[in-house]
Amino acid sequence: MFKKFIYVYLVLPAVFTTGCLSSAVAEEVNLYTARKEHLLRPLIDIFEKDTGIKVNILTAKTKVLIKKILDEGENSPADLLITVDAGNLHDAKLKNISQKIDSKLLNQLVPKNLRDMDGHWYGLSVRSRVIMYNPAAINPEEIMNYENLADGNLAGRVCIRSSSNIYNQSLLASILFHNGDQAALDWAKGVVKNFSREPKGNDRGQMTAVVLGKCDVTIANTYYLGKWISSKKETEKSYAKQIKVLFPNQDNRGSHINISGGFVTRNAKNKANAIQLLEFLAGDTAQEIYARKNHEYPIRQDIKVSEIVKSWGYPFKMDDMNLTNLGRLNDEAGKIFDIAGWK
Amino acid sequence: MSNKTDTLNNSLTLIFVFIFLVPVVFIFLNIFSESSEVWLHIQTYLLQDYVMNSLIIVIFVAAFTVIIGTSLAWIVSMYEFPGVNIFKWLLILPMAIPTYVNGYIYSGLNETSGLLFNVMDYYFGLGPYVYNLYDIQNIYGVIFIMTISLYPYVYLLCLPAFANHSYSVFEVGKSLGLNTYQRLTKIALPIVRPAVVAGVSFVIMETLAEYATMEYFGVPTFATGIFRAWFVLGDEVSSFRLSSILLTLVFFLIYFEEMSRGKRKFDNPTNKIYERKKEVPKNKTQLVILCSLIVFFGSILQFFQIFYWISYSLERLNILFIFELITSSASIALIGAIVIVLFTLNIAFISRVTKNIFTRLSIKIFSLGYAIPGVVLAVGIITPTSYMEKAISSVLDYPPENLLSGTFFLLLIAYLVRFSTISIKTIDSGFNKISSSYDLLASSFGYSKLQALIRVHLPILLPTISSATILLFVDIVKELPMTLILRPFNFNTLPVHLYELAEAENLSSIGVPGLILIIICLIPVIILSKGIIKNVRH
Repeated sequence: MFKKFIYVYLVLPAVFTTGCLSSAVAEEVNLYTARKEHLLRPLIDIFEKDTGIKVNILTAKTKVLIKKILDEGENSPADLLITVDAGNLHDAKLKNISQKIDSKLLNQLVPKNLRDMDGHWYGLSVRSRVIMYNPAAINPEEIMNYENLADGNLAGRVCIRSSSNIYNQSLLASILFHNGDQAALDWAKGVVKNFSREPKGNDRGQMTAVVLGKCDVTIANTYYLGKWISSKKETEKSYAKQIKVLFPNQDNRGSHINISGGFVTRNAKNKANAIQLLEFLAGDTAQEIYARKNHEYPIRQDIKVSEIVKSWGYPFKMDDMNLTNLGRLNDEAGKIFDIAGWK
Repeated sequence: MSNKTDTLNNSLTLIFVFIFLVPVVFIFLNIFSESSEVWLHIQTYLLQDYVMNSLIIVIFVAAFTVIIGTSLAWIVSMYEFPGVNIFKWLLILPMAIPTYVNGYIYSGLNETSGLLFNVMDYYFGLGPYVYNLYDIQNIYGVIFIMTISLYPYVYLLCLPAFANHSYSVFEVGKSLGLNTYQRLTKIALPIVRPAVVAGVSFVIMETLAEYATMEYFGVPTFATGIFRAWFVLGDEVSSFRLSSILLTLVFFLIYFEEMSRGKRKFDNPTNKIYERKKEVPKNKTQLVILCSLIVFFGSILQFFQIFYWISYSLERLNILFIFELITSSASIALIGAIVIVLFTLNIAFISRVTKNIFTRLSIKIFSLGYAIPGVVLAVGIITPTSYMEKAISSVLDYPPENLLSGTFFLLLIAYLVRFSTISIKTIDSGFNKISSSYDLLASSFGYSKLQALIRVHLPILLPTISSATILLFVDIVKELPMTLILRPFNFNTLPVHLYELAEAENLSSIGVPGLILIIICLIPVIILSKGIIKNVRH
C-alpha cells in the first residue's frame, strides 16, 4: 500500500512535469481564436499535414483574447488571432496588437474590400446579415430594405438580439456609413419601437421566436439557417421550412456583409508560419471546405458555395463598402444604440 | 530539532505564504491607484446593479437554503415515513451537479431541444405555448438555481447535528410540555446553529463566486462585473476595485462566522449516540410529497433532461474529443489534488513539529483561500506574473519570454491557493488526532522527523489523505472561471467545453459531457454521504 502511495503522490507528478517541459516542438504556430474549434479543426489538420507546422490553439471570446494579448505584451505567445467581424479586427489594430504583413499571395487571394487598407488584417470568409421572416405573417414587399424594419406598420412584430452583439453594431455602422448620423439614430429608434420583446438570446433564438410566433421578422446571419436546414434534428429541419430569407437593399447598395478574418500579432515569434497559415486559409482548398461546412460565403466568387447557400440566391448584391469603416464607426454605433434605448 | 531544518521549514512556509498573499495584496493595492474613466463609467451605470443583484441573490439564496436545508434535515432525522432512508440519501444528490450545469439544464427545458417543450409539443401540440410561457433567465431564475444546487450543504451539515444529539434532549422537552413547534425552535434550532452558520457561509461564498450561471442568465453581479471590467472594458484597475469590494465582503462574512461560533462547543459530551425511536407523523403523505418534490427538482428532472439531450445528439458525438476532454480534466484534477495534498501535508507536519505561532498563522491564511472567488483569483494572478516576467527579462537582459503565463504551473498555483482550504482543514485535524506519544516513540527508535512522517504519521493519516484527495479532485474537475482564464494552449476541460457549448446556444450537445461531469462528481458525494449517513444511523 505504501509503495502505491509513493507512486501516486511522487512519481506521477514528476513524470507529468518532465513531460510538459520536454514537449517543445520545432515548427509551430500559436493561434488564438474566437472561432469554434470544431469548425477550424478539419482545416488545421490539413495544414499540419501539408506543412509539418504544429498549430497550437487557444479558444475564448474575442474580447478576452484581445485583452490577453495586451496583458501579455512582448511576452505574448500568440502569433495569430482569428476571429469574426471587421469591427473586432479593426479594434485590435487600434490597440496596436496586430502588425502589417507583406504577402503578395494574400493580397492576391483576398479582395480589396475584405482586407485592411494598411495590410493588418485579412478576411477569410464572408457572412451576410439578412432579414428573415415568417411568410405567413409578412409580405416581403414590406421589408425590401433594412430601413423598412423601422416602419410603423411593423410595430410589435420585430425581434433582434442585443446591441452588445458586434454583428448588430457592424450593421448599424454600415447604415451610419451610408445614411449618416441622424438617419441611423432614427432607424435605431424606429426598430426599438417595433420590438415585440426586449432583446435576448442569439440569432438562432430570434429565428426560433419568429417560427414560434413571438415576432414576425428578425435580422440574422444566413449560416444559422444553413445549420438548421442541414440539422439532423426534425424540429430544426421543420423550423427551417417555416422561415424565409430576404437579401435586403438589392435595388440600392446591396446587403450588409461582414467577415471572419485574422491578423498576425505584433510580437509574433513565428511570423512566417503565421502568414503561411493565413495564406492557406485564404487558398482554394480551405475556402471550399469552409464554405461548405459552415454555410458561409467564400471570399472569392469563383469558389463554389454549398447547395443550401445557393438555394437562398447566389450570387446576390453585396454592399461593397470597405469593411475598415465598420471598425471605424463602431464606437459611434454603440452610442447610437444607447441613445435609442436598444438594450 | 536542529536549527537548520527549522530555518528550512520556516522559509518554505514563508514562500507559500507569499504565493498566497500576492494576489490578495495586489488586488487591494490597486484601490489606491487613480480612478480611470472606465471606473467612472462603472460607478455611474453598472455598480448599483452589481451591488443590488449580488445582495438580493445572496440574501434570498441564504434564506431559502437555510429553510430548505434545516427543515429537510429535521424531517428525515425526526420522523419515520415511507422511503425516509432513501430520501435521506437522494436529497444530497444535487451536490453532484455543478451549478452552471443546473443553469443550462433549467434554461434548456422549455427551449426547442428541451424535454418540457417536446413532451408538450408531441402530446398536446403546445410546444410554442410552453416556449412563450416563462423565461428562467433572470434574477429569480438565478435564485432558484443557486438554491436548488446549494441547499444540500446546509442539509448535510445539519444532519449529524440533529442526529447526534441524544434523543433525551427532545424527550425532556416533550415531557416539559413543549409542542413540536416549540421543540423545533427552542431546542433543535439552537443545537444546529453552528452547522447552519457553517453551511450558509459556504453557500454565500459559492453564490458570490458563481460566474458561469450569472453570465449565462444575463444577471450582472460582482463576478461577471470583474470579468467584464477586465476583458470587455479592458481596465484592470476597475476590475481590481470590484474584486476588493467583493473580497472585503467575503472576509467580513468569515469574521462573522468565526465570531458567531465563538468558543462554544456543541459536541455531545459522552460522544455516544443514543438509540432513538422516531416519531410517526400524522401527515406522512405530505412529508413524502415534500421530499419527492425537492428530489425531483433537485436531481431527477436534470437526469431526464440530460438523457433527452443525449438521445438528441448522440449521433453527432465525437467520442475521440470527449475522451480527450475526460483525460485532460481528470489529469489536471489528479495532479492538482496530489500537489495540494503534498503541500498541505507538508505545512501541517511543519506546524506539528515546530509548533510556532508563525506556522499556525500560516495555516489560518491558507484556509482563507476558498473565500477568494475564482474570477478574482485569476485576475489577481495574471498581472503580478506578467510584471515579474517583465522584470526578470529586463534584469537578465534576456529576450522577453513567458516563463509562467499560460502554463500548467500558473493554473496549479491558482488551484493551490483556492483549494488548499479543503485539505488543510482535514489534514490538520487528522494530525491533531494523532497523539504526540507517537512522535516520542518514533524518536526513541531513532527516526528522523521525515522518517517519522513517512513511517508513523502517513499510514495513520492515509484515510484522511485519500478523502482530501477525492474532495480536491472533484472541486478541480468542475472548476470553471480560473481554468477558462489561465489554461494553456490546446487544453480544454469538461467545464470549459460545456461553457463554450452554452455560449454557442448549442445546449443539446451538453448531454454527454454534462453527464460525464455529473458522474465524476457523484463518486465523492456517494462516499461522503455514506460516511455521514452511516454515522447518523449508527
